[in-house]
Amino acid sequence: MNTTQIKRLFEAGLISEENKAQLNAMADKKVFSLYYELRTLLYIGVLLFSGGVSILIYNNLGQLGHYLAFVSICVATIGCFYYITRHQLAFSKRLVESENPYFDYALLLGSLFFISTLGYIQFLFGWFTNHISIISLISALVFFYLAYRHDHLGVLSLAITAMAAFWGLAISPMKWYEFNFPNDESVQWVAINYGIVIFLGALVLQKYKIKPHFTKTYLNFGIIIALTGSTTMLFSGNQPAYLLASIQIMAAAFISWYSYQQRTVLYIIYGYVFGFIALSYALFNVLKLYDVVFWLLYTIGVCAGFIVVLLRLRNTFKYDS
Amino acid sequence: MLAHNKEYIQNLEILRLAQKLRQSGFIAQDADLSALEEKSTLYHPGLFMRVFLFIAGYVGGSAAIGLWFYIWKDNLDEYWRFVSLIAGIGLLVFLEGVLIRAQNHFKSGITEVVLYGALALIAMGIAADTGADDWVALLIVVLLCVLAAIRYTDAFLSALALVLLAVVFLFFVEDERLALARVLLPFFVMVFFTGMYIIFLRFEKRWLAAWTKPINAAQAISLILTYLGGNYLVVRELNAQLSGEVVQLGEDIPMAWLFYGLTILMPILYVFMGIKNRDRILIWVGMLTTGFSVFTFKYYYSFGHPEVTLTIAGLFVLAFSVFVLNRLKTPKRGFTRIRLASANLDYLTAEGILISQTLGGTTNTQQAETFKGGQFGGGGASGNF
Repeated sequence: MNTTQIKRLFEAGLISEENKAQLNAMADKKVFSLYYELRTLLYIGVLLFSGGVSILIYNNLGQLGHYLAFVSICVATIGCFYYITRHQLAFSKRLVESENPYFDYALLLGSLFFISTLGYIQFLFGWFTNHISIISLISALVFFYLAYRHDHLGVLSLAITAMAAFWGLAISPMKWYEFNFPNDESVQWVAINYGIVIFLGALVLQKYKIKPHFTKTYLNFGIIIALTGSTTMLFSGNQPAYLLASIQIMAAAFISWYSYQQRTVLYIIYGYVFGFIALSYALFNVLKLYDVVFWLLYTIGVCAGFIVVLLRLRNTFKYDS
Repeated sequence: MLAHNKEYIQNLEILRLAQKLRQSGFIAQDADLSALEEKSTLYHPGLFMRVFLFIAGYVGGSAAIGLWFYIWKDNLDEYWRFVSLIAGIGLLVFLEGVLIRAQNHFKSGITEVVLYGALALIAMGIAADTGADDWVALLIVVLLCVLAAIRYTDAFLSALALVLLAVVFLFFVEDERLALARVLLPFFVMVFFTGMYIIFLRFEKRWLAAWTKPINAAQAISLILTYLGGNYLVVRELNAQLSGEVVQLGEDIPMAWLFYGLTILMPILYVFMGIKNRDRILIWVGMLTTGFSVFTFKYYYSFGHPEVTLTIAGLFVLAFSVFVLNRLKTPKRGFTRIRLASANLDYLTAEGILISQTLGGTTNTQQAETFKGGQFGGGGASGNF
């Protein structure tokens, strides 16, 4: 952003005289926002502090130390939630952004402490020994409530992963390099169903305009969970490969179609990658094609085809970011 | 000098700015941007699309080169240099003639992959395996990167050129006879890249607006290299690597106090100068190098209790940011804590997922044991954030 551009926008009648002065002050750095810098520092602080405290507690031997740590975590949790209720804004079905810079982080820290509290209760008193998944269920429900009440995408993601944990799935998309496919067919079915439920649920919620900006997060998780589940099932050979591969290719095509309808490119990419995996698997394991030249030509063809299709759609996705 | 049309780039940038301002409320939500949209004819998709097009182009291109090698593997011995040079030049012609001229591409992901591929092939054709010294070959690559960074206004290439230049210095002093040069290398690197930074700072001119991104990237990399030139860990370990002398227990490298001092002071200086001059690049590089300085000291001096260090560091960072945030409740000398432009939902989504993945306490070891095989690998496509 520079003053020439602002002048052009002003001359085009898009910005008011008052806004022009304000934007010019920003372009000339008379006003300088430290928003992202300070938020990053806050985030790093929360990360280091909660990490350090949890290791401290973990290493703290001796029961007395445990009770002390437990009490302090409880106090911290209650403190965070007290702060949140003091500063909360009215509920709205739309996007609510808090002006208070600490609010999001107090909520996040409180949520993380809440999990620690539950874990500690189990560790000290063993209340959940027979039903350990209850911990995940309770935290999921609490997180869903907090995410909707206070409009927090981070807590929503925590809720989705906690709910998945309740159903027996440990999700860590950021740790895909640890590639550890569950070979248990029931877990794979759970993944597929859970993904589909999240996907459809998000669409229903969007239809009723309840927090429509949450949809993206839901769809992301839903698509990745469901398709990873079916890919894993495909690789594990629990079901006939030709059937699963064709279903997955159809699912990928559906997601691409949906993405096209929504004028967003992200889900097309998911659909394409998972469709590509299913197709390649079918060609290799079902049709038994092993020729090197074929595979090279296939790869070239798939990539070139995809590039050409995306470029043909360039006007659809022109301003999609 | 520039392969792209400057006016087109300006039109694109002004449209993007208008869209951003509309999102953040400076322009009315129902304002009509169609006049700007019509003027903006360049194809410059969003980040996801660009990354994906890049990957698709990379995989497809690699397969094409693989196929070519596979078919011609018996006849490659003599001509491979010539052929890769021709192929690289061919790709450049395709980039300029088809993508940029005919299709109006501007940093579309495809243009980058074609450009980098072309440069790699040309570099292979000119510089690889010529029998010349390593540093000479690398210097040719640097020159190629600089030329391409200017012609195609590419930030990655301008950064790469500077990094490779630093590697050229390293190769240069590897020579046994240049012991003195090796001792002076840190100072030379620091002075040289400080000079580079000052030069690139002068390039922030209106008539060079089309090159803002490569210039900014060069500034950031120059600052980082200046810092690394004086960083204790880098100096000590590289010196050991180059000279083969290992620092004995109880001993230290010559002038250790100086490098300790630089390791501490440089980040502080960066942040201070950044705040003073209101320069975001200096601030961010300062924050980044602060992290690396902490790592440097932890690497040699561990107190044996990383959790205590973590907790104290976390408390310190929290306290500091809370202090600054409170001070800026009302803007001071133009510094404010509120977000001025860009209310980007994608940023929020990405931040949410980052939070759940780095802080997420839901998947603890207890659960992993309870649900045997409950680990869920996540797809290969999930690295998109």
